[in-house]
Amino acid sequence: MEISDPQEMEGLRSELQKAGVFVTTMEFIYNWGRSSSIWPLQFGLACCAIEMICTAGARFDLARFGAEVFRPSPRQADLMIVSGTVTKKMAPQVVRLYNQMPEPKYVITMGACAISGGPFKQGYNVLKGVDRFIPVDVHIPGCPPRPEALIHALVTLQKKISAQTTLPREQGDVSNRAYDKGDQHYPVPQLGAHDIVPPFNPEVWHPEPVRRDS
Amino acid sequence: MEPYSYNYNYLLVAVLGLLGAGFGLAPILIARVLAPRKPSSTKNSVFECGLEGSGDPWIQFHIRYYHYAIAFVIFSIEAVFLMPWAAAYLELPWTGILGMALFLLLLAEGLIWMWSKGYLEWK
Repeated sequence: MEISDPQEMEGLRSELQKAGVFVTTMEFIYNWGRSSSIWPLQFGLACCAIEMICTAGARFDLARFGAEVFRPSPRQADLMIVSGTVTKKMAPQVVRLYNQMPEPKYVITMGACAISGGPFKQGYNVLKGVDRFIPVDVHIPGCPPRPEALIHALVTLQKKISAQTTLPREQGDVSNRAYDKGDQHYPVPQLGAHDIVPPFNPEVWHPEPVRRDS
Repeated sequence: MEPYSYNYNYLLVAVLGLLGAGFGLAPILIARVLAPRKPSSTKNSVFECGLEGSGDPWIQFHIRYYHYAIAFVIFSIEAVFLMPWAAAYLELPWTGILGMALFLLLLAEGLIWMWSKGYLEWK
Protein backbone atom coordinates (compact mmCIF):
# COMPACT_ATOMS: atom_id res chain seq x y z
CA MET A 1 0.00 0.00 0.00
CA GLU A 2 1.38 3.36 -0.99
CA ILE A 3 0.62 6.26 1.33
CA SER A 4 2.00 9.59 0.22
CA ASP A 5 -0.34 12.01 1.99
CA PRO A 6 1.22 12.95 5.35
CA GLN A 7 -2.20 13.56 6.92
CA GLU A 8 -3.36 10.12 5.88
CA MET A 9 -0.13 8.70 7.27
CA GLU A 10 -0.70 10.48 10.58
CA GLY A 11 -4.27 9.14 10.75
CA LEU A 12 -3.12 5.58 10.08
CA ARG A 13 -0.43 5.92 12.71
CA SER A 14 -2.83 7.03 15.44
CA GLU A 15 -5.36 4.35 14.39
CA LEU A 16 -2.73 1.63 14.73
CA GLN A 17 -1.48 3.09 17.99
CA LYS A 18 -4.94 2.57 19.49
CA ALA A 19 -4.62 -1.10 18.59
CA GLY A 20 -1.28 -1.25 20.34
CA VAL A 21 0.83 -1.20 17.19
CA PHE A 22 3.52 1.42 16.92
CA VAL A 23 4.50 2.33 13.39
CA THR A 24 6.98 4.88 12.20
CA THR A 25 8.84 5.83 9.07
CA MET A 26 12.55 5.83 8.38
CA GLU A 27 12.23 9.51 7.56
CA PHE A 28 10.67 10.28 10.95
CA ILE A 29 13.50 8.52 12.81
CA TYR A 30 16.10 10.15 10.61
CA ASN A 31 14.65 13.63 11.05
CA TRP A 32 14.18 13.05 14.78
CA GLY A 33 17.85 12.15 15.07
CA ARG A 34 18.95 15.16 13.05
CA SER A 35 16.72 17.64 14.86
CA SER A 36 17.62 16.34 18.31
CA SER A 37 21.37 16.71 17.93
CA ILE A 38 22.00 20.02 16.18
CA TRP A 39 25.61 20.88 16.86
CA PRO A 40 26.34 24.59 16.42
CA LEU A 41 29.59 26.02 15.14
CA GLN A 42 31.45 27.71 17.96
CA PHE A 43 32.06 31.28 16.99
CA GLY A 44 30.72 34.65 18.08
CA LEU A 45 30.82 37.91 16.20
CA ALA A 46 29.59 40.56 18.63
CA CYS A 47 27.50 41.18 21.74
CA CYS A 48 24.83 38.62 20.67
CA ALA A 49 27.51 35.99 21.20
CA ILE A 50 27.46 36.79 24.92
CA GLU A 51 23.76 35.89 24.97
CA MET A 52 24.56 32.75 22.96
CA ILE A 53 27.21 31.74 25.51
CA CYS A 54 24.69 32.42 28.27
CA THR A 55 22.19 30.15 26.49
CA ALA A 56 24.72 27.33 26.48
CA GLY A 57 25.43 27.90 30.18
CA ALA A 58 23.76 26.34 33.19
CA ARG A 59 20.91 28.82 33.66
CA PHE A 60 19.29 28.46 30.24
CA ASP A 61 20.91 25.10 29.45
CA LEU A 62 20.78 24.54 25.71
CA ALA A 63 21.70 20.92 26.46
CA ARG A 64 18.02 20.25 27.12
CA PHE A 65 17.49 20.52 23.36
CA GLY A 66 20.54 18.54 22.32
CA ALA A 67 22.39 21.54 20.93
CA GLU A 68 25.00 22.20 23.61
CA VAL A 69 27.87 20.60 21.70
CA PHE A 70 29.47 23.71 20.23
CA ARG A 71 32.06 22.47 17.77
CA PRO A 72 35.28 24.40 17.24
CA SER A 73 35.55 23.04 13.68
CA PRO A 74 33.04 23.41 10.83
CA ARG A 75 33.66 19.77 9.88
CA GLN A 76 31.54 18.62 12.83
CA ALA A 77 28.94 21.38 12.92
CA ASP A 78 25.35 21.38 11.63
CA LEU A 79 24.24 24.84 12.61
CA MET A 80 25.77 28.25 12.12
CA ILE A 81 24.51 30.83 14.63
CA VAL A 82 25.47 34.18 13.15
CA SER A 83 25.54 36.01 16.47
CA GLY A 84 26.35 39.62 15.80
CA THR A 85 27.41 42.24 13.31
CA VAL A 86 28.98 40.84 10.17
CA THR A 87 31.51 43.37 8.96
CA LYS A 88 32.56 43.38 5.35
CA LYS A 89 35.98 42.20 6.42
CA MET A 90 34.42 39.24 8.25
CA ALA A 91 31.86 38.29 5.59
CA PRO A 92 34.26 36.22 3.40
CA GLN A 93 35.30 34.17 6.44
CA VAL A 94 31.68 33.57 7.48
CA VAL A 95 30.74 32.37 3.98
CA ARG A 96 33.87 30.26 3.79
CA LEU A 97 33.09 28.61 7.13
CA TYR A 98 29.54 27.95 5.95
CA ASN A 99 30.93 26.28 2.84
CA GLN A 100 33.22 24.14 4.96
CA MET A 101 30.35 22.74 7.03
CA PRO A 102 29.08 19.34 5.85
CA GLU A 103 25.51 18.94 4.62
CA PRO A 104 22.83 19.10 5.96
CA LYS A 105 23.52 22.53 7.48
CA TYR A 106 21.37 25.31 8.85
CA VAL A 107 21.76 28.98 9.69
CA ILE A 108 20.20 31.03 12.48
CA THR A 109 20.73 34.78 12.30
CA MET A 110 20.77 36.11 15.83
CA GLY A 111 19.87 39.75 16.35
CA ALA A 112 19.23 42.81 14.25
CA CYS A 113 22.81 43.10 12.99
CA ALA A 114 22.98 39.65 11.45
CA ILE A 115 19.53 40.16 9.92
CA SER A 116 19.96 43.63 8.43
CA GLY A 117 22.97 45.43 9.86
CA GLY A 118 20.88 46.62 12.79
CA PRO A 119 21.96 49.87 14.46
CA PHE A 120 25.13 49.85 12.36
CA LYS A 121 23.25 49.63 9.08
CA GLN A 122 24.54 53.04 7.93
CA GLY A 123 28.13 52.00 8.59
CA TYR A 124 30.34 51.77 5.51
CA ASN A 125 31.92 48.57 6.78
CA VAL A 126 28.83 46.61 7.86
CA LEU A 127 27.16 43.90 5.82
CA LYS A 128 23.44 44.66 5.68
CA GLY A 129 22.30 41.16 6.51
CA VAL A 130 24.14 37.88 6.19
CA ASP A 131 21.27 36.48 4.09
CA ARG A 132 22.86 38.28 1.15
CA PHE A 133 25.35 35.44 0.89
CA ILE A 134 24.07 32.36 2.71
CA PRO A 135 20.56 30.89 3.01
CA VAL A 136 19.08 31.56 6.45
CA ASP A 137 16.60 29.18 8.10
CA VAL A 138 15.54 31.14 11.17
CA HIS A 139 15.81 34.86 11.97
CA ILE A 140 15.67 36.05 15.60
CA PRO A 141 14.90 39.74 16.06
CA GLY A 142 16.26 41.58 19.08
CA CYS A 143 19.21 43.71 20.08
CA PRO A 144 20.43 41.42 21.48
CA PRO A 145 17.82 38.65 21.64
CA ARG A 146 17.43 37.06 25.04
CA PRO A 147 18.56 33.45 25.52
CA GLU A 148 14.91 32.38 25.50
CA ALA A 149 14.65 33.79 21.99
CA LEU A 150 17.62 31.70 20.84
CA ILE A 151 16.03 28.62 22.37
CA HIS A 152 12.81 29.51 20.56
CA ALA A 153 14.75 29.79 17.33
CA LEU A 154 16.32 26.40 17.91
CA VAL A 155 12.94 24.78 18.58
CA THR A 156 11.60 26.48 15.44
CA LEU A 157 14.52 25.00 13.50
CA GLN A 158 13.84 21.58 15.01
CA LYS A 159 10.22 21.81 13.82
CA LYS A 160 11.43 22.84 10.39
CA ILE A 161 13.83 19.90 10.20
CA SER A 162 11.15 17.45 11.38
CA ALA A 163 8.83 18.57 8.57
CA GLN A 164 11.46 18.15 5.85
CA THR A 165 11.42 15.31 3.36
CA THR A 166 14.93 13.97 3.10
CA LEU A 167 14.65 10.41 1.79
CA PRO A 168 13.03 10.96 -1.60
CA ARG A 169 10.42 8.50 -2.84
CA GLU A 170 10.74 9.98 -6.29
CA GLN A 171 13.48 11.99 -7.93
CA GLY A 172 13.41 15.63 -6.87
CA ASP A 173 10.96 14.99 -4.03
CA VAL A 174 13.08 16.55 -1.31
CA SER A 175 12.46 19.80 0.53
CA ASN A 176 15.91 19.83 2.13
CA ARG A 177 18.36 21.13 -0.43
CA ALA A 178 21.26 19.21 1.10
CA TYR A 179 19.72 15.96 -0.13
CA ASP A 180 19.37 17.14 -3.71
CA LYS A 181 21.80 15.88 -6.28
CA GLY A 182 22.96 19.41 -6.94
CA ASP A 183 25.88 21.28 -5.47
CA GLN A 184 25.48 23.42 -2.34
CA HIS A 185 28.45 25.71 -2.68
CA TYR A 186 28.11 29.46 -2.21
CA PRO A 187 30.72 31.76 -3.75
CA VAL A 188 32.93 33.47 -1.19
CA PRO A 189 32.96 37.27 -1.61
CA GLN A 190 36.26 39.12 -1.78
CA LEU A 191 37.24 42.51 -0.42
CA GLY A 192 37.34 44.86 -3.40
CA ALA A 193 38.54 48.43 -3.74
CA HIS A 194 35.31 49.98 -2.39
CA ASP A 195 33.00 47.16 -1.34
CA ILE A 196 32.90 43.41 -1.16
CA VAL A 197 32.67 41.82 -4.58
CA PRO A 198 30.02 40.68 -5.37
CA PRO A 199 27.85 42.79 -2.98
CA PHE A 200 25.33 39.92 -2.73
CA ASN A 201 24.65 36.48 -4.11
CA PRO A 202 21.65 36.74 -6.48
CA GLU A 203 21.04 33.01 -6.06
CA VAL A 204 20.27 33.49 -2.36
CA TRP A 205 19.09 37.06 -1.91
CA HIS A 206 15.88 38.21 -3.56
CA PRO A 207 15.12 41.69 -2.22
CA GLU A 208 11.67 43.17 -2.61
CA PRO A 209 11.70 45.83 -5.30
CA VAL A 210 11.47 49.32 -3.84
CA ARG A 211 8.02 50.84 -4.45
CA ARG A 212 7.64 54.59 -4.19
CA ASP A 213 4.20 56.19 -4.17
CA SER A 214 4.22 59.41 -6.16
CA MET B 1 36.70 -23.43 25.48
CA GLU B 2 36.83 -24.30 29.17
CA PRO B 3 35.06 -21.65 31.25
CA TYR B 4 37.30 -19.66 33.63
CA SER B 5 40.41 -21.02 31.98
CA TYR B 6 43.35 -18.80 31.09
CA ASN B 7 42.33 -18.37 27.44
CA TYR B 8 38.68 -17.84 28.38
CA ASN B 9 39.63 -14.59 30.11
CA TYR B 10 41.24 -13.38 26.91
CA LEU B 11 38.07 -14.29 24.99
CA LEU B 12 36.20 -11.82 27.19
CA VAL B 13 38.79 -9.17 26.41
CA ALA B 14 38.43 -9.89 22.69
CA VAL B 15 34.63 -9.64 22.87
CA LEU B 16 34.88 -6.35 24.75
CA GLY B 17 37.40 -5.06 22.22
CA LEU B 18 35.14 -6.00 19.30
CA LEU B 19 32.14 -4.34 20.96
CA GLY B 20 34.19 -1.20 21.61
CA ALA B 21 35.43 -1.07 18.03
CA GLY B 22 31.89 -1.63 16.73
CA PHE B 23 30.54 1.14 18.95
CA GLY B 24 33.08 3.52 17.46
CA LEU B 25 32.82 2.36 13.86
CA ALA B 26 29.02 2.03 13.59
CA PRO B 27 28.24 5.80 13.63
CA ILE B 28 30.98 6.41 11.05
CA LEU B 29 29.56 3.72 8.75
CA ILE B 30 25.95 4.90 9.23
CA ALA B 31 27.02 8.47 8.46
CA ARG B 32 28.83 7.22 5.35
CA VAL B 33 25.62 5.64 4.10
CA LEU B 34 23.14 8.36 5.11
CA ALA B 35 25.02 11.64 4.91
CA PRO B 36 24.88 13.54 1.62
CA ARG B 37 28.33 14.02 0.14
CA LYS B 38 29.06 17.32 -1.55
CA PRO B 39 32.79 17.88 -1.66
CA SER B 40 34.10 21.18 -2.94
CA SER B 41 37.50 22.80 -3.06
CA THR B 42 36.57 25.09 -0.14
CA LYS B 43 35.27 22.21 1.97
CA ASN B 44 38.32 20.06 1.32
CA SER B 45 40.75 22.85 2.05
CA VAL B 46 42.51 23.32 5.37
CA PHE B 47 40.45 24.78 8.24
CA GLU B 48 42.11 28.00 9.34
CA CYS B 49 39.26 29.77 11.20
CA GLY B 50 37.71 30.74 7.89
CA LEU B 51 40.87 32.16 6.38
CA GLU B 52 42.73 30.61 3.50
CA GLY B 53 45.71 28.62 4.62
CA SER B 54 49.17 29.80 3.59
CA GLY B 55 52.59 28.22 3.73
CA ASP B 56 53.73 24.64 4.11
CA PRO B 57 52.77 22.84 7.35
CA TRP B 58 55.79 20.53 7.05
CA ILE B 59 58.26 23.03 8.44
CA GLN B 60 61.51 22.01 10.12
CA PHE B 61 62.30 23.15 13.62
CA HIS B 62 65.66 24.74 14.06
CA ILE B 63 68.36 22.55 15.60
CA ARG B 64 68.97 25.12 18.37
CA TYR B 65 65.73 24.02 20.05
CA TYR B 66 67.41 20.71 20.98
CA HIS B 67 67.76 21.66 24.66
CA TYR B 68 63.97 21.89 24.96
CA ALA B 69 63.83 18.30 23.71
CA ILE B 70 66.41 17.25 26.29
CA ALA B 71 64.53 19.04 29.09
CA PHE B 72 61.28 17.39 27.96
CA VAL B 73 62.80 13.91 28.12
CA ILE B 74 64.38 14.55 31.52
CA PHE B 75 61.39 16.10 33.29
CA SER B 76 58.44 14.48 31.48
CA ILE B 77 59.33 11.19 29.82
CA GLU B 78 61.48 10.11 32.76
CA ALA B 79 58.52 10.27 35.15
CA VAL B 80 56.40 8.16 32.78
CA PHE B 81 59.02 5.41 32.82
CA LEU B 82 59.93 5.71 36.51
CA MET B 83 56.38 5.33 37.80
CA PRO B 84 55.67 1.72 36.61
CA TRP B 85 59.29 0.81 37.28
CA ALA B 86 58.98 1.94 40.90
CA ALA B 87 55.68 0.05 41.29
CA ALA B 88 57.24 -3.22 40.15
CA TYR B 89 60.61 -2.55 41.79
CA LEU B 90 60.60 -5.44 44.30
CA GLU B 91 59.74 -8.10 41.72
CA LEU B 92 62.24 -6.97 39.11
CA PRO B 93 65.35 -9.04 38.32
CA TRP B 94 68.74 -7.33 38.47
CA THR B 95 68.53 -6.56 34.71
CA GLY B 96 65.58 -4.27 35.42
CA ILE B 97 67.59 -2.29 37.95
CA LEU B 98 70.58 -2.14 35.60
CA GLY B 99 68.45 -0.99 32.65
CA MET B 100 66.85 1.82 34.62
CA ALA B 101 70.22 2.83 36.07
CA LEU B 102 71.59 3.12 32.53
CA PHE B 103 68.58 5.19 31.45
CA LEU B 104 68.93 7.51 34.46
CA LEU B 105 72.66 7.84 33.82
CA LEU B 106 71.99 9.03 30.26
CA LEU B 107 69.39 11.50 31.53
CA ALA B 108 71.72 12.73 34.26
CA GLU B 109 74.31 13.34 31.59
CA GLY B 110 71.76 15.45 29.69
CA LEU B 111 70.91 17.37 32.86
CA ILE B 112 74.58 18.10 33.56
CA TRP B 113 75.01 19.19 29.94
CA MET B 114 72.08 21.61 30.20
CA TRP B 115 73.28 22.90 33.57
CA SER B 116 76.77 23.57 32.30
CA LYS B 117 75.42 25.31 29.19
CA GLY B 118 73.32 27.57 31.41
CA TYR B 119 69.93 26.58 29.95
CA LEU B 120 68.45 26.12 33.43
CA GLU B 121 68.99 29.81 34.24
CA TRP B 122 65.92 32.01 34.06
CA LYS B 123 66.76 34.91 31.77
